[in-house]
Amino acid sequence: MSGPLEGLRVIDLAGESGVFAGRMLAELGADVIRVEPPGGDGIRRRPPFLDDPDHPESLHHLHFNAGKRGITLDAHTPRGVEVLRRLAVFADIWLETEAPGVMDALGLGSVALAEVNPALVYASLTPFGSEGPMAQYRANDLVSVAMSGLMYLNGFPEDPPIAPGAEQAYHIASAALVATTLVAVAGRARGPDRRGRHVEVSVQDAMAMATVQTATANFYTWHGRVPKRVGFSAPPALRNLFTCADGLWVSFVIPVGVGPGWFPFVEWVRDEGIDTPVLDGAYEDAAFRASHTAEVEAAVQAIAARYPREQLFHEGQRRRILVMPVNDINDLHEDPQLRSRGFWRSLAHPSLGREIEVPAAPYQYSTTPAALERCAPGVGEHNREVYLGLLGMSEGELAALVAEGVV
Amino acid sequence: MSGDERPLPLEGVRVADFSWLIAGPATTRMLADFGAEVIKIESHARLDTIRLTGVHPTAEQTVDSNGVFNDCNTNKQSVLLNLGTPRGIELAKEIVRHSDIVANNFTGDRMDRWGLGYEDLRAVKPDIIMLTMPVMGTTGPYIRYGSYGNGVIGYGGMRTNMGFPGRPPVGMAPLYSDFSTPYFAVSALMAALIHRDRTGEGQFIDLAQMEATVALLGPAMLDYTANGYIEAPRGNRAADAAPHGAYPCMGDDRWCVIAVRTEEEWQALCAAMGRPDLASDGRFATLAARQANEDALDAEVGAWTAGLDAWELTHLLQARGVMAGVVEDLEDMVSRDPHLSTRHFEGVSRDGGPVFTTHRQPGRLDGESPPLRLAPRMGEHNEAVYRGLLGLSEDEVFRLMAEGVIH
Repeated sequence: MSGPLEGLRVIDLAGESGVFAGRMLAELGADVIRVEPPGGDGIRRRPPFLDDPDHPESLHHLHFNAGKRGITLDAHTPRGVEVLRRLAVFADIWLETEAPGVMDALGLGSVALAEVNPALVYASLTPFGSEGPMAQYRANDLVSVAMSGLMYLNGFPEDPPIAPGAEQAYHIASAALVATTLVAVAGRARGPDRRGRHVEVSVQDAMAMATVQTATANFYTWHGRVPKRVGFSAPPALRNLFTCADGLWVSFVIPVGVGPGWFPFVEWVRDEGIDTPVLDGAYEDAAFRASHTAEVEAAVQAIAARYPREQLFHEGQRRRILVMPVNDINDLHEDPQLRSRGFWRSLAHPSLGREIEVPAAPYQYSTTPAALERCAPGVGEHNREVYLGLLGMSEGELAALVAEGVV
Repeated sequence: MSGDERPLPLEGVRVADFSWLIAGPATTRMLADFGAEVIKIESHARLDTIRLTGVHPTAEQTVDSNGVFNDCNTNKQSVLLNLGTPRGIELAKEIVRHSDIVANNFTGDRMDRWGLGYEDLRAVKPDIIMLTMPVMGTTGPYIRYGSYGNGVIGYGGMRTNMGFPGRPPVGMAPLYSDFSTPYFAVSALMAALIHRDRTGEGQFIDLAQMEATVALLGPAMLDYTANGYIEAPRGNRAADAAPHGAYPCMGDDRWCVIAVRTEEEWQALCAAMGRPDLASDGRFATLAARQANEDALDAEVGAWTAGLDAWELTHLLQARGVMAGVVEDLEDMVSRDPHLSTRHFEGVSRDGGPVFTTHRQPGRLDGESPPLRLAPRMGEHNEAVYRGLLGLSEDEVFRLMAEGVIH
């Protein structure tokens, strides 16, 4: 492995809510060892699947476990717990997403593992935190995006609220867990001792933080205002999405309040020879524009209708107007900017006999390039490496664990 | 872990913060909350417009009264510095000489054109870690293209991957990428700091906000790269659950989500509804059957929920082991949710002034959230930084103010 976290080891016991966290740490160069029950965990059974009758692997597994090593172990047996405690000695970070109290009951909680490895940073992700009347409530991504306030703001006012695509609460919570965990790891080097900490993130808190930056709590606490779904409108713009000549969509930001953008926009309208009231000098006043939004939106739509999406994007940006295409995944796969930056990377998948193209880490380091080096592991693929190599077990000991069904 | 007093993990880390608007400041806020000394470098000559755009407690709006600005800048220091002057650039380098991390989110090569690029800063502080996080990154054909978060969402694929069938690509609530990106940025910075602590090497980190958005698209990316398939949005429905959606509740625009994956959960939902007939109805006997008859299923569930209070319904279903949750609006978050209302928000104020409500960090360390201090007034720490940190004389500071450098 390479990357800034080279040399750091992670034990990854996370379920679906936190499986992205280990992937982020692997991208950054950590040695992430994913621990699954014998036979593999539930991530491997989540749709969609690879369209290959011989290897119908879950794309959740291929995506979220890329870059990790994989071992099997039954954590719900005394022998399994003992092996995990031995693994904790060699770990810097421990990732888990069990309901509050479960790991403690197994003897694998943060206090128990601090005894075997005081430097361990123990990272827990729970739906609603470890305390409070809802601590034992269960949540999938839908429940988390609902109870964090974000879903209420998504969609058109005349439709029901709509959940984000691609399980955003899981993604955001995992990313928050990684950020806080690495803060704690960095803290080990500058505290009076090298002790780790117990990092706890609730999915609800992580996602709610994302909501209140759009709908800051002060709207309510100061003015009793409760922001609603706004459809196409998006501050600081008016209507934000427009259709182009080819039927595709762009986001097109025209400020109604203070800020740049108005005069370049008027110049564009003039260059196009569009007959519109917005050319009137009265529109130079931001407050006037704000009370005549329909006229402004009509002028934007008139421009948008003259260009296909790609041309509108480049012409707008050339004029210093914030026009962006609304991309689908096929657009992103061919996107010149992403291509130029090497965003799509092919990883060999030996057991499939083919390469899988995956997204790279979203950061580029000048000294320690971050890059995934392997595809997601097969079930127990690295059992021998980890049990014999890292833990120093004998062949006989490993064979006994296999015979007992622990490995 | 014991509960004794420990320093915050990032105490002793100093950050020269050139960032503005939301994504950059939210990144450095997380560092500040966890103990870093973050010096926000700003100027009346180039106002951080988020000091004004947002929500203020009274009709009188000042650069120090915005709730959104506070959400992004707690625990920081602020100095005035006009980067449009040669002496201003020199002083910026002096601050960097005393710093561990430099952060900015300007578009493209803005810092280079000031003479504050990575090579310039490395010359004054060889092990500096520099994060730059423009929308498009610092390389590639679109390097100079700009956008707000609402455009980044569309570019990054977060509009076309969600929505009800046949509806336009309304996508995520505005500015989502402005709060998702900071978790990646903090992770990237902490990984670089961990590497520097071990090797003495600093480095440059190029983080494209657009890439950090694409990184959230999940397994759908592999569905395209490996299978050539793009799944059409399916509203709130899911491949592995039914019912799975937002159901209307008593009141205006009140909703509760319900997610049923297993047979046990389905039986529990039917029992809660008092509908043994549904439990034995062949149309709903299996997940596949429920998905094949999902319109009828949703009609049955929605007819039941419509007469119930969203919170009572949530508690009722969770008590029976069914995943459910209120689609919370801001009022729910601040005043009704038993977790968010007590653990997520905190009021901060200064000198008996208005109380700003802001979120705590979603990550807790050993059970504690870090303390919060109100965002700095513009230039509040001029004295502390220019005289205390840089050692300038009172006369010199006075002269720099008169010359419009400290401005």
